[in-house]
Formats: sequence, C-alpha cells, structure tokens
Amino acid sequence: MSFSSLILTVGALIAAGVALLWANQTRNRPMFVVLAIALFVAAEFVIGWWALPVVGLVLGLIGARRTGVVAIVGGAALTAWVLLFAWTMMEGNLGNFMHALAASMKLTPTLLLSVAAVLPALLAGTAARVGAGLRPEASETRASKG
Amino acid sequence: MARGLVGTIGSAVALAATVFLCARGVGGAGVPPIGPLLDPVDGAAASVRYGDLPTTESQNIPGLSGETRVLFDVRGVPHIFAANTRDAYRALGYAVARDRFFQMELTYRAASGTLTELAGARALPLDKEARALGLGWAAEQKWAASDTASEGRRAMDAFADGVNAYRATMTPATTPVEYKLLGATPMATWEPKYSVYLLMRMALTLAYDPEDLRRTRAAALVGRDAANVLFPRNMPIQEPIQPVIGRTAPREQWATIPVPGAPDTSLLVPAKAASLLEHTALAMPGAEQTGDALGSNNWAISPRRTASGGALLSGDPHLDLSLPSIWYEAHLVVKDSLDVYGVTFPGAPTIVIGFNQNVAWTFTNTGGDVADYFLEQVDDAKTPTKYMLDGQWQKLTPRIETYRNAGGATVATDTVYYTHRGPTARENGQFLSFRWTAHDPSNELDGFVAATRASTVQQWQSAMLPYKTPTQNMLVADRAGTIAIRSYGEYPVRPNGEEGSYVRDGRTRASDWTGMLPIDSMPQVTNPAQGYIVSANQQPFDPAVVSRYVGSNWPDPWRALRINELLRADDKVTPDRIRQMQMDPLNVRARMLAPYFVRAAERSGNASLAAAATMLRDWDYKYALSARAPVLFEAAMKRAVRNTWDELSPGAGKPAVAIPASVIFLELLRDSTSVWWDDRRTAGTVETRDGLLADALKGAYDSLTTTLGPVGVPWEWRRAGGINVHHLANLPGFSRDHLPVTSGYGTIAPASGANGSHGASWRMIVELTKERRTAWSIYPGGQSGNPASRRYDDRLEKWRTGQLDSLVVPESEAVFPKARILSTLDLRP
Repeated sequence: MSFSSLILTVGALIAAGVALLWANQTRNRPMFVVLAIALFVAAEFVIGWWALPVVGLVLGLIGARRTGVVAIVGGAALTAWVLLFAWTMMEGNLGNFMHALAASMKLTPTLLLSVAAVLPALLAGTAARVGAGLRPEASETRASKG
Repeated sequence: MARGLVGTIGSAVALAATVFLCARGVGGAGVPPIGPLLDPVDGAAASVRYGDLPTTESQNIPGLSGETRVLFDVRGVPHIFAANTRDAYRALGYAVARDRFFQMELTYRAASGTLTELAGARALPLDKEARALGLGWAAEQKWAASDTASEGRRAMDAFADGVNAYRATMTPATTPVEYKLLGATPMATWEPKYSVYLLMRMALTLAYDPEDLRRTRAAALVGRDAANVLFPRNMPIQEPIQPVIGRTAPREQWATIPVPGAPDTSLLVPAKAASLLEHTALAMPGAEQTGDALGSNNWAISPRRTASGGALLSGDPHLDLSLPSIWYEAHLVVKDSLDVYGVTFPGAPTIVIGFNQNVAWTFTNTGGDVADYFLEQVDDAKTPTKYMLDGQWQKLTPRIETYRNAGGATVATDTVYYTHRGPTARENGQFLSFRWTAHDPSNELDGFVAATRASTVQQWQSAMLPYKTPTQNMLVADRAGTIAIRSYGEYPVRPNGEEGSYVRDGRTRASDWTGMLPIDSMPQVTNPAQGYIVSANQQPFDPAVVSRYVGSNWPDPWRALRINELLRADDKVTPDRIRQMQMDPLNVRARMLAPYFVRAAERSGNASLAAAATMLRDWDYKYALSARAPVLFEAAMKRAVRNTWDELSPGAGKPAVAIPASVIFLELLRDSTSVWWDDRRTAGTVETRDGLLADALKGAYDSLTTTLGPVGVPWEWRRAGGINVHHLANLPGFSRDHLPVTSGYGTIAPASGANGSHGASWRMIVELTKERRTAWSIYPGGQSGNPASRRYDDRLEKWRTGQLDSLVVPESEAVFPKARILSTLDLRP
C-alpha cells in the first residue's frame, strides 16, 4: 500500500469510527450496521485479517448495550469479506482460483468456502462478545432488558 | 453477573484459540495459517487482482545507470531496452522476480539444502541429499574462485540488484500464494551467488547419472561379462552426433549377450554400499526402471537443404516439466551492443538458449561419464577422522551441516566428510567418496554472457570455452549459413585408459583422474557434408571411427534414428516441417520391437492372441491420440521387460537393480535361444523368447480388457498416455495433469507415460537467412508463476497440440508493434 493510500484508508477508518460512535449514541441501528461493515473493510486494508478480532472487539465495547451486538458484528464482518471478495471477482476469475486453491489444500471447494464464510463471523462475533463482556454494566443493562 | 463473566472468559478463550489457529496454523497437520491465507485483501485471493500486468508502471532500481524501458508483449515476454548491459541484467532481474520469485527461492534452496527454512522439517530428506552431494559446498567454491571483474560475475551482481529492487516492492498482497500456503515469508535478499547455486541444481539434473553404481550392482548379480554387454560402452545401433563421412544409414553391430555369470564377489561390498545411493529424489527422474531413457533433441540444417536458402535450427530440450516452467522467455536489447532473445532459468542473469541478430543456439545433454564413486577405507566407521591413501592415513575434512527452520532454529545437524576427491556418503557401513566435474571451480555464466554477443558460429564457440558443466551438445547456426555442434564441458581422463564403469578403489591415488580431455577431443562437427546435424542424446562418436571414451550406456537411439530418417528424405526443409517433426508421432522403438510380439503370437497358434496380434500388425507405429495399439504395445513391453530381466533382481519381489536400454532388449530379441529368456522365478519351466513375448502380449491384452473393457474408446492413447505438468511444489490444484499428447517412449517428443512428467520443455525454430532472422517457439506453461494469472498456463494448449508462437523480436523500441504491447514498465535509478 502506498503512503497516500495508507493516509486515505486511515482517514476513512477514523471517519467511520466517529460516525459509528454517533450512530451508536443515536441508536440508529441500520447506520450502525453499515458503518460497522465500512470499518471492517477499511481496517482490512490496514491490518489485514487482524481487523476481524480487533474491530470486533472495539465494536463489542462500543455497542455493548445493543441487543444482538454479537450477531450484528459477526454479520458485518461476513458482509465486509463478501464485499471484498466481490471486488476481487471483478478483477479476475476468483471462482476458478479458489477451486484450485482448495484442491492444493486437499479440501473440497465447498469446505474452503465454508471456512472463508465462517471465519469472519466467528472471529468478529467472538471478539464482540468479549468486548461487550468487558463492560459489565452494559452487560447487566442488556441482560436486565432481557 | 457470574454467568456473564464465565461467558466472557469462555469467549476470550475461544477467541484466543481461533486467533492462534488463524495466525500460526497447525504445522504438523499441514494446516497453513488460515487468517493471512483467506484474508480477502492480502491473502491468496489477492493473486487474482495481481494476475494481469498493469498497463503502465514505473519503479526504481538502485544502481541503475539510466532509464530502462521494459515492454511486455502480448505473450508476457519482457523486451528490455537498456543503455548498457548491466542495466539490461538489472531489468531482467526485476522482471523475472516479479513473475517467478517463489520459483527462484525454491530452486536456490533445493540446491543449497535449505528447503527446511521455507517448508520446515518435512523438507529435511531433500536438504540432506543436496548437502551430501556437496551442491552448496561446490557453489561456494565456484563463487569464491570466480573473478570479481568477470562478465559473468558482473551480470550476477546486476541481476541481483533487479531482483532485490522487486523484493523491496513486494507487499503481502503481491506475495506469491505458495508462501501463504506454506505460512512462510519470502527471502529478504537475493544474493548474486545464488545464481551459481542454480547452475549446480541444473548440473545435478543433467550430469548426475550414477551409471557406475548401477553397473556395479548388476555385475555383483550376473558378473562383469554380462553387465558390460547389458550396460555397454557402445550401443549396437550407431547414428552418432558426429556424422561419419559417406555414411547414409545407421550402422548396426549386434553382440550376443553372455549368459548370466556367477555373482562377482569382488563387487559385493561396493554394490551393497551403492544400493542406497543410486536413486536420489533430487535428480531428474529418468526411466531406468523401464529401460527407456528420455532426453532432448536438437538439429540444424545447412542452407543448401532448406527451402529458404538460410540455415535452420531446431531447439527441443526435454526436461521434467513443471508449472511455472523451468524457462522464462526474455529479450534484451542494448543499442549497438546486445540484441538477444531466448529463454533463461529464473535466477540466471542472461539468456541460456536463444538467438541474437546473427547466431542461434540450443543444447542437448551429452550425458558423458563425468563422475566416479570411490570405496574408501576409514579408521572408524562410526566417527571417522581419517581415510587410507597409498598406505597412509589422510585426514578427512568434516563439514558440519546445520538445518534450520524459518525462524532460524536448528532442525537437525549432520556431518559430511570430505576426502580430496569430494564428499563421502556412508551407506550400509561403507564410505563412498564422490568425484564429480560439477564440483570443480568454473564460471559457466562467463560463457553464456559472452556468447550472446557473438556474430558467427566461430565467435560463439570461442565464447563458450569457459563452460565446464554439465556437458552439453551445443548446436549453433549463423546468418552466413554455418552450422556446427560441439560437446562442451569437462570429461575426465582415468589412469591407464580405464573407464569409469564401476565403483573404484579409493585406497590408492592410482585410481584418481589424471586430467580432462582437451576441447579438440570432444564430439564436434562443422558444416558436415550431409548438410545437417542431429543430436538426441545418442552416443556422440561412432566407436568404429573414434574410440575415445567419454561415457557409456547411452540413451536409446530411437529419436536420433527418426530425426535422421526424416532429414535424409527432405532437402527443402521449412520451419513448418521442423514444427511437424518436433511432434512426429511415429515411434521407431515400436517399429523395431512390435513385430517380434506379432511373430511370437502367430507362432504360438493361440487363437486368443489373434486380436492382440492383429492390432499390433495393423498399426502404423504412430502414437496418435486415437490409436489403440500403443496402449497394448506399452503394456506388453512392460511385462516382457520385467519378466526378461529377472536375473537383475536382487531377490524375490524386489525390482531389478537396473534395466538395460530397450535397444539392448532388441539385441536380446535377435537371440531366440538365449538363457536370459528363462524366468528363474518359474521353477520347473524353461521360458523361450516367443513364449515369453506371447505371454506378455496375452497378459497385457487380458489385463487391459479387464481394466478398460472391450477394445474401444477407453483404449485410445489420449486416455492411457498423456503427460503431467506438476506445480513446482506439487500442489495439485495448480498442476495440469493427464494432458493427452502424441508422445511416448521413443517418439521425437518423448513422454514417460500416464504417470510421467517429462517432455519438451522448450520448442524453438530459428531461420537465419542473409536478410533476416525469424523465430517461433513455445513452452508448456506461461510467463507468470501466479496460478491466478492468465499467463500462468496460457501456452499449454498450444504446446500440447504442437503449435508454435511467432516471436516478436524488434531491434529497438521505436519499431515495436504497438498492437503487441501488453504492458510498459519504466525503470529508473
């Protein structure tokens, strides 16, 4: 990544984070989801797959009071990966390549695809669960709301 | 609250475990780190985004003296236009590294015995072999002895500049996918000396042929008299590389194979030691177990026998095929100084096979006897310190070999002991030392670099004089119409006219080599009267004319016979005719051997053999994709060979220690009463030649009927034959297997059968007339090492079907046809 791209990406990351805090404050759920996806996408360009646990953890902390925050974060991570793979598909034949990759790993393409789908949801969702758990008052509030 | 805390802790543990798995993988189970691998931005998928070359790009190379432009044509070939040769090599380094970095590192590590640093402990056996053979040791010696001001050395330095400039731009996204699958990091620096390691790797592929070990083991079973005829110095059909004046047909001189003698007890000890050494997984997989060696072809035709009136040169080297290919195609142009096009090994700084404005050249392997094993006497078999030489103990030189993983931790250590001859190997309690010309200091690159600027055949041949290993039949032609061939490389001279046929006595210096043959003694010819030159790894001299020893047990003559046959019949050869010849499906081996099966079937009177005999009798001996007879013939040959050479098996159920060439099988076929036809494993029955052949044919036919069904489409050669082009690291998804080809053992384009991966690695035709140079070529694969790139295998189908690409060879950037430009790369200091 070039320096200018890095600056742009970090800028987008900060903007998405600020907007996300705002969306959380105003309890704008659709906006929270969209911004969570954007945050995952932007963070992917800076820290790669580590974006899943890191952003997941942060979103868990931020959205701890939200009902279903784990599912939202996991879903956002999965969506972010789907979007990024779709971007790659526009550049070339990703399907054929993933078939070949699966064969080289002695896996079926379906299994590789399943792992690629489960991984972001699992990592980000688990991280969000940990993040939410690190704010006990929020957890209690959420629990009391049932 | 307690439940919440437990849940959080549980989630944290699950998260930590998942993160660990993603980041580290499970090395022992072969699971790569799946986080970086599956990452959609920087992971394996990124290969798809970097599959195509950018339309324009600019980069910096420190050390570059001026702006250098690289135009990639639509075939992905870089045309480098530089201000001087060093800049051209820098640009080449950049281009090759961008397309083939993983291949370069893998090849270097295979030669240096450091694969464990890339692939972990699973690569340890390969690394131990490489170090036991002294590959890294020899590369270090060659590097240390090379002249720092030499052209080859300066080319290596410049090439490394380019490679490292590319390495500095490599990002996680552009890192080759193989590293991600291995969980490895690309090497940080390409050192100039790594090019020397690469040449050692090629020497191992082409010049490591432990013929003496094979013959020693055979003689220990059937005696020297028989072994010397089964693995002879001179082959029974002579169609030599160095033509015999006035001869218009091959010369045949058949011997009677002596009856199997008593085991030669004097060879039992070395044979035992040799048994484990002979087959190295690193060396080129030949076809010793079936007795049908594979190899390369080249031929050139004088102007008076071509349609255009210019010289024609056909390059057709065969190697173990891989994806990406062993070759990388490039064009280097420096105004008024250099204009060379051809292929190089990724990691070598110059063109190896190719052409310039005036001269074209190509190689086949000579395969001479350039190595010997010596049985040494040491003071202590467990921890040796000395070896006996002329009654005196001499100190062994131990070299501690340390094998490390990617993190630098020691995986294993061992000690390789060196005598004055070379490295020793300890097998079955015995020590064999290894003397090999490839270990001697040399700088082949000086020759390659200088030769690219030659204007005539004579200049080219003079430039190649520094070349020492591996021995190659170097064929060259020029615009003036001269054609010539000479075997380059060092051929050892043994004392008292001895031959390197057996493991030698290491206890005396009297066993040592006394020198090397002078260049004038090598097989060679210039502008022969017959008007063409052919080499196909066959015996280079006819012993009736030149008795000099340069090797033995030469590859079968089938390809040489066929090429000579076709050229004798054509005095208006065209480039397209050469293209057809390179793919000629007729198999001389089958033409000479199959009739024996047919006659045996007819004599047997066995009605069940009629269908099989008819199939072979009606066959035109062509390995056409729709032909069915090749399947039957190959299956019958396999059975016949196995049942015939049972005497060479060291015990029940064990494979033969060596299989004679198929031309020796033909020699035996001429002797219907030989005791070799008796299968010793069938006590109480004495087999005859015709009985054995009829049984082999029937067994093959019945077996094929069982496995493939009645004769029909499943019997077609397209299904049963074929060729495999494996990925370098044997990754099945990145390999292209079971490609149907019109090739088999013995055809001009040989293939080693359904499980084989040996074939034509680069086909090139160059026409050199007084007015112009024109060239065509193809290799199996593509320029890119990225499996997600269209350029990874875009030439494969054309190669398989025998088509060639017409090459774009502009002399300057100004005349480069714009429509053929795929990408422009500007390199700046």
